Amino acid sequence: MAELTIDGKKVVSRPGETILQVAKRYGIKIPNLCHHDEVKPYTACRLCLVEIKKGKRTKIVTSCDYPAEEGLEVKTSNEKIEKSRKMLMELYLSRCPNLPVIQKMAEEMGVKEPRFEKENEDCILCGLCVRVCSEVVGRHALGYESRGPERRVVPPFDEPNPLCISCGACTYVCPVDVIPIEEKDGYRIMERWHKKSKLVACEKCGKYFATEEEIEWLKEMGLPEDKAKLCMDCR
Amino acid sequence: MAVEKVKENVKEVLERYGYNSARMIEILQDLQDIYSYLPKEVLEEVANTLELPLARVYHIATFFRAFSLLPRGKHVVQVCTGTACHVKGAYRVLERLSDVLGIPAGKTTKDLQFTLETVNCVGACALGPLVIVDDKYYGHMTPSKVDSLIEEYRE
Ligand code: SF4
Ligand code: FES
Ligand code: FES
Repeated sequence: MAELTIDGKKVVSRPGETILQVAKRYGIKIPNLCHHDEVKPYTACRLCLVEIKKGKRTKIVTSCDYPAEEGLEVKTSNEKIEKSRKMLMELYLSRCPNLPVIQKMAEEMGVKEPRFEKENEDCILCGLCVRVCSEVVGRHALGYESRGPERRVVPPFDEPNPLCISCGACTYVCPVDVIPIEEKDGYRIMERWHKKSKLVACEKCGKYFATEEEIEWLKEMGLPEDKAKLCMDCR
Repeated sequence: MAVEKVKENVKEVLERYGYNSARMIEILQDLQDIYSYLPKEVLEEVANTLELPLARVYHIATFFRAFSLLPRGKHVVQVCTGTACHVKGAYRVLERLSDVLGIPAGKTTKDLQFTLETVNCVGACALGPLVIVDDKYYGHMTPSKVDSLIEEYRE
């Protein structure tokens, strides 16, 4: 537990919390695109910059990985921060001009037409899907390919990956909502990863509730055989 | 690709580096020396043996330009596009090579004879523009010298 201030407001942090997490809990908004409470910080988007004052010294840090320490004075905005956030938004908007989430964020920050050449990418490379798959689900089905302008997120070889269980955790965390998941004719389909998984019906109520791979995974994780045949409601 | 042979090659290389995944770059380099590129089966075998996610191995293999995941030509033609060579006209040489071989940089000819690539400064700036074919250096290249250079290697 530590006491600090954010934008002049006194806040109390819980053990292990970052500045961004405390701020969120207190309803103080800090823009961010690559943070999720379930995975480790990655500091890819650089939007969560804040100014911190420790004693006499001030500096600008990423709030998603900076621990909420005792006595910090945090400012979530100042001229310099706004300037770099706007610049970043302009870059995001030129990379992904057609993403509603990005359009909206840019608008809120007063960023209009980007000065840079427009591309039509739909992934901002925040890495959340990669991280949730490895850190939370434990499957490591996704990763990066290449670097620089060619860098993208794919399953290895951009082919259907047997490690992917079509659980949809990536869909859930993607901040720009570009990992569609669909259930059709007894299959769950994750088009972005070229993955099609057969659905299994609950032995009791007959509703589709999981993919075959998910059930295998649950069993490996120690769920007893008989329970693995039932949906959450019937378990 | 013969599965047994892949297993054998991978095992031999991994042994050389004590099955230490921190030496992945050297491991992949040695494997590429054997195959002239990194076949999918090889990357899978490396990941399996070292118990690493394939996604990680794939990332490393695609991260460095020195690695190729596609078969490469019998001869690898590299054009240095480092600053010095660039200033001395490397791009005109590259363009001519592209025309003569009929492929853009990064690709391999259909008959698997040539792969055309660009590299960054190789430390021979005084010789720029520099072209390297296999392991041989050709300095002070000009577009007009390209045709005869390729003829030397063409079968
Ligand atoms: S697909 Fe979505 S979650 Fe994955 S890196 Fe791209 S933007 Fe982030
Ligand atoms: S949320 Fe901190 S850098 Fe993206
Ligand atoms: S720039 Fe080509 S060798 Fe240095």
